[in-house]
Amino acid sequence: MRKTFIFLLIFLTVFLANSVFSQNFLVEYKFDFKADEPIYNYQLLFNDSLSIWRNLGDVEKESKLWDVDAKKDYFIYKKNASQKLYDHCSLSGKIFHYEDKLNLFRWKLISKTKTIMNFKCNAATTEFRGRTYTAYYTTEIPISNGPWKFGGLSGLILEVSSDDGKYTYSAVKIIKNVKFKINNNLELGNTYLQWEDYKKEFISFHKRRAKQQKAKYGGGMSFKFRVETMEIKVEIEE
Amino acid sequence: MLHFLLCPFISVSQTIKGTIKNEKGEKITTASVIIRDSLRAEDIREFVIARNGEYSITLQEKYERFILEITANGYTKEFVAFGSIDKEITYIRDFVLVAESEQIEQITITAKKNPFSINEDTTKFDVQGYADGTERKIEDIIKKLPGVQVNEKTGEIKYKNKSIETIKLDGDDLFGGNYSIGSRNINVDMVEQIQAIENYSDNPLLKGIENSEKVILNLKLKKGVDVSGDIDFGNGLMAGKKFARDVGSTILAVTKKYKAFGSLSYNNIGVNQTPFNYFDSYNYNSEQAKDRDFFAQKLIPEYGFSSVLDENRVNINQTLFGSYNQTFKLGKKTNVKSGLYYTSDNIQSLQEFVNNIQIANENIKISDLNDISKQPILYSGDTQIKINTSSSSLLEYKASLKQENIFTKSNLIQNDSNFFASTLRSNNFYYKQTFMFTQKISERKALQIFLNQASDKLSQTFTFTPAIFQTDTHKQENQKAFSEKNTFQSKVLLLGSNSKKQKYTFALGVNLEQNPIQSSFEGETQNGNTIILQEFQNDFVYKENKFFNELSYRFFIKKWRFTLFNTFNFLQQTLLEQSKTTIFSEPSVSLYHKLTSISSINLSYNYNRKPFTEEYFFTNAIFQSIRQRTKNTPSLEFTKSHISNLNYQINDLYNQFLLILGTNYNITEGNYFSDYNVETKTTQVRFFYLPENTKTWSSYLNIE
Repeated sequence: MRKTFIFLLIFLTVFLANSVFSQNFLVEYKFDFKADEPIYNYQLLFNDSLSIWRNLGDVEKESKLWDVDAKKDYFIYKKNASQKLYDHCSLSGKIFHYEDKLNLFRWKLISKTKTIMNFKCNAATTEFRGRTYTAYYTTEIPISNGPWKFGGLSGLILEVSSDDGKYTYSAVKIIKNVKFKINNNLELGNTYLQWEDYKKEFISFHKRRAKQQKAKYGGGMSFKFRVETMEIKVEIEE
Repeated sequence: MLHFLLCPFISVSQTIKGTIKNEKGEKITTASVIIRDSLRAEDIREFVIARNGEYSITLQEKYERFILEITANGYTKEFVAFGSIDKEITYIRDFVLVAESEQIEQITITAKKNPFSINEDTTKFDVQGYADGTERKIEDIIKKLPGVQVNEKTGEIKYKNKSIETIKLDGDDLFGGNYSIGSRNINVDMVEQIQAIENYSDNPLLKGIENSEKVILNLKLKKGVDVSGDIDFGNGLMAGKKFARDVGSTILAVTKKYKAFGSLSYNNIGVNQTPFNYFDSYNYNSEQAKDRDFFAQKLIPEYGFSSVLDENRVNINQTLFGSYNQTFKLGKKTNVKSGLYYTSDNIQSLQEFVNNIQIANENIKISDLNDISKQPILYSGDTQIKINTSSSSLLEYKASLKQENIFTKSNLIQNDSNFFASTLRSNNFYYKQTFMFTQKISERKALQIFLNQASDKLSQTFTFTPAIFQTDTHKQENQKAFSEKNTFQSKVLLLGSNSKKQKYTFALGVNLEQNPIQSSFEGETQNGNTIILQEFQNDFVYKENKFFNELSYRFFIKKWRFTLFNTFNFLQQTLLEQSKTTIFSEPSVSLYHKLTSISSINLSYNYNRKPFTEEYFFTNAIFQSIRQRTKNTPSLEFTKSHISNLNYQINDLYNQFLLILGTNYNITEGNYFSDYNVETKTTQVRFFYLPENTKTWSSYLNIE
């Protein structure tokens, strides 16, 4: 009984120590994808072992800024222990959970440098799922992470943009030593699809939708349907 | 041997590995292992992420010497210098990192926001990025925006050296040319963003066809503003125990179909929040300047308060101003916009001039003490109806009405003994109607028909007590002047463009103008009789009929833009017995070159000929002030001007730098000159025409 008690006490202390004293960061990113109202604000909450990426628009009040409610918020969860990231997406109301490798990027270091928010940044480029990206990362924050799925460099990525100019993430705020609470287990799905399977589901879902649209409006006219995300491109022409 | 053959495909590289722990001996969860050329090198050559306290890096390149750097969150950096290392040996190097001193407080670092963004023709400015907290009305922010110049007197706003057409609210035109009502009265905290839109086409049917260099500002209001208003109070005490007041209230209502802005203000501290300016003799705001051709000329000029100091805070006024602007949609096709304005003021000035002259042993003191008060009252209203008659045609009707009465009283005491009082009453009634129809003929061609009709009636009475001309017999004298202008204009315009490189227009039009002018000077005798002095009577009509053809052509080649414009005129003038017909051309040409994304150079030349306006046509004198009467020897000649301009502009928004360097060279042929005939009591000025040349050369430099 006493042994269990001491064991629990040590476990609790270590657990608390890890969640409170391991340096936690909150970085706010601006996402520009060249639409009419192009700016969305995202948040990356991270420390040595995990990170959560979510849309600030989902967070209602200032007081809940550091709390993550795994059941309600949309987020991408990166877990160092399993070297995987977990994401989910809703297609017509049905939620698909999928997992992807954490090390998705083959970076090529280039000798450009830039100062962002007083942090000296180095540059690297990569080709990822159909697009080339240039990222600026700082070794002054030596945690290998970045906005969205990006990561794998020797420091935090503060800015990354696609070379075709369509997508840009840039850090606008960095808060050190933030205390955050996670409500509910982050691994929500019962089963996780692999990325390739999820991609197939996405494409076939949109192909079905395109057929529906055509049946509704198409008639005898030629029909062009296109859906594009950062990673997937679906183009249907009939 | 076999081994040797296989070897070339096996990369013989240098490998370094080891453990990364902290001072307690614990493995560090994650760390970065970086290879640099030298200690001070900024570039990173290679790297690897170390997990669970272990790392292993195999160098891809060959180095003479390199630095191996270990960084981990919460620990100080460690690095080791390596010379050239052998290929076949794996080096083992363990690291023990020292924890950084514990920092528990939260530290926030924020990026400096770029307060603006550019998207093709629109530049968006975030209001917060330019505010420092002292601004009240949106004009205070507009002044600070890069590339924007605001004329403090008239409220005129220029963007990149071009006057703006209007200020829209969330895409709706509420104020028209009287946009200073918006800029001077809308509060800063109602506005989220200010957009400057270039190459603006007021008429959506002409987008891409019209050669437009127009610029407008669009205010994006903060979300959730449905109805908002504010009331401002400013109270104080001025010298002489007069209460200083600055009271204003505004109300703004914004819904999808209806937008309205109303303002009411009163102040006596010299601030002008109205779009009108009565401080000067005349000073047209941009809306009035457009209609200047339709206004009758004032034969007796109004009083202008000149001051050595800045106009602001020098005038003593009592300005009451009210305005109401609204725009709403009637059904799907019709949009109605209307505005009502009222202003009244009492501008006062007390001026004393003392001259001490020493001649021989005599001291002569000449003094003038002038007490003036100018009281204008203005009622004006306008309405505009736009109907989308079809998807390719637009019908517009505009009507405006103005009644302006200015009453100026002036009391002059000369040398502490002679007393002169004069009053000037000017009543002006003006109305104008415009009808405009646009039909899009094809994707790149459009036809427009314009009809304008306007009438301006001006009547002035200038009274002098005691008399200034026949001082023995008259106790009071009155100068009366009536001038009227009736205009009818019609124009048919064809516009077209060939792809995006060429744009052209062709127009045919007619302008008919009629100006009846009358004046009389009478004196009231001691017995109460009124005597009209024949030598100061005018009664005539000046007519101008013009038929014209306008042709313009604009084309782009790479970064160059050429514009050619020509007006061919047939002008008929009639004055008294004289009649004259003139046929002439007015060409103009301009060349624009974009040097870089932020700088450009512009060269232009134009030639124009203008007949003189009616105030040079009355032959019998009109008394314009206590000391001066004016008459003319009229001429139907024209003034001919050659105007050329060269300017260089840099507009760098990112670094907030604006530079305009320019030079003008103008030659004017033919102008009215004056000769002065000084008599004992008054001075007679006579204007006459001389075909003299005046050459002016000027340069200007504007840096912000």
